[in-house]
This record gives sequence, C-alpha cells and structure tokens, in this order.
Amino acid sequence: MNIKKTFLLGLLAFPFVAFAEPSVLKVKKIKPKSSTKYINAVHKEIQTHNKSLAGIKYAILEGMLTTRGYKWAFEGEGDGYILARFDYRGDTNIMRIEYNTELVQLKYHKAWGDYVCKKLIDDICYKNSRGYYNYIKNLRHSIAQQIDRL
Amino acid sequence: MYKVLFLIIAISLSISAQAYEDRAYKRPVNTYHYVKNVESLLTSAVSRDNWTLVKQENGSFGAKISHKSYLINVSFIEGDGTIALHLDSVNRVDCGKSCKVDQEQVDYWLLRLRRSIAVELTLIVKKAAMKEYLLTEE
Repeated sequence: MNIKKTFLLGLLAFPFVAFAEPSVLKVKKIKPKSSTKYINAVHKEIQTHNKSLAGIKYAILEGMLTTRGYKWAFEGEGDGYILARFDYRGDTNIMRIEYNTELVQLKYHKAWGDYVCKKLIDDICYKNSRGYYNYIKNLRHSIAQQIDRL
Repeated sequence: MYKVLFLIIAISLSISAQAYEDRAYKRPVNTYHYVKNVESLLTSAVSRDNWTLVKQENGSFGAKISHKSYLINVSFIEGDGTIALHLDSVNRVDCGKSCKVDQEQVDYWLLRLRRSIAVELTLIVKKAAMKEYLLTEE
C-alpha cells in the first residue's frame, strides 16, 4: 500500500481535527435546535484564568475521572486537545476537550447509538436528545470544578 | 469524477462507522508513550470485572472469564503505542436447553473490558500530567 492510499484510509477512519482551538460560544439562532440552556451546559467555554497548560491538562483528566455518575476514559490526545470517551448501555460518545491557557471547551467528536448529533455546526451539537446534554454537562461541570481548584 | 469520489468516500465512511459500532471493543486503546508496565495496567484493568489475566507462552497477555455459563478467552495485542482486544474463543457450558451464544452480550462484556483498560490508562495519563504540572509550579 503506497503512502497516498494509507493517508486516504486514515482520513476515512477518523473525523477531521483541523484546529483544536476553544473559543467563546455564541449560540446561533437556527432550527432544529435544542434549548440554548442545554447547549451552553455542554459546550460553553470554561475560563481558565491563565492557568498553566500542564495544570489544565491535569484538571481535565481529573475532571473526567471524577464526573458525577460515570467516569470518562482517555481515548487519545493531540496538540491542544484530549479525547474523552463514554460507553454506556450501547451508547458511545467521544468528546474532544480543547484547551489553551485561557479557555477549555467541549466539542462533539463522534458518537454511536442514541446520542448521535442531529444538528452539528463547528463541532457544537445544536440538536440532540436530552440524555446527551444531561450526561455531558456533568463532565463540563467536573472539569470546571477541577480548574477552579488549581 | 468528483461525484464518483464523493460516493466512494460516503460509502466507505458508512461501512467503517457501522463496523465500529458492531465491534466497538476491537478499536485499539491508544496508550502512546504512557504505559511503562503493560502487565500492571492489564492486571488492574481485568480485575475490575473479575477477568483473570493469563500470561501466554510467547510472553504476551490474555484474559479469561467464566460468567453466566459463558467461558470467554481473549488476547491483548500490543502494537506501537496501542493495546487491542482479540476474541479467541467463546463457549457455553452448563447452559441447559439453549446454548446459543448471544454475540451482542459478549460484545458488551468485551467493550466493558476495553473500557476498564481505558480507565486504567486515564489514571496513568493523569499521574503523568500531575507530575508535569508540579514541575512547572516549582
């Protein structure tokens, strides 16, 4: 298999991660859409108050392991992001937790089962079942708590 | 030309997504450079759901479990910065009239085993991150 083929197969196997960069969330007015409250509960940026990158990475991992109800597992990492995975009762979610020295933000990466996003814009999930927002808000909350403790 | 290419990519994506969904446990766990002692990681991981770690003749590791009349044997395939699960055998014993293997149930148990490995890995990655954090704070 030549290099071109290997590269193309690699592209098919994984979603693109063009720029792992968190940003301030501005919820768009579109339809269909879950409530803004739900979208913010999962995807709203977390202020880090200029903590060190090493500290933020540690806080994210600690937050994953101490999420209320269910531990999130490390699925991979790259420059400025960590992939966190949730497998529960046949449903799988992989969130991409993007971070820099100012912000941390959860982005939708991939899902199987009931939590596949029905309306995805810039990796922010605008329409999904209530379970998606309920489970993942706990992860965001847990990470925010750990960052506060740094 | 572009339409054909688009169609091929769409079909491939659909097939690969379905395959992963059906056999999610097969997706390798990315360990990168974090795991120095595979045996220790696997020992902790398998014990979470009462699997037993088995050291195979070639030095690699496997695991077995006897649960709800199922006897399951798996191997751990170590790659370059990855650990993958391979189902070696599944049999049912003392199962009465119906001894059919429920593959969906087996897949669920194997996915739980994969998750246990990933959770143990998360603890190791967190420990490494904490070490780095403490060094930067000094």
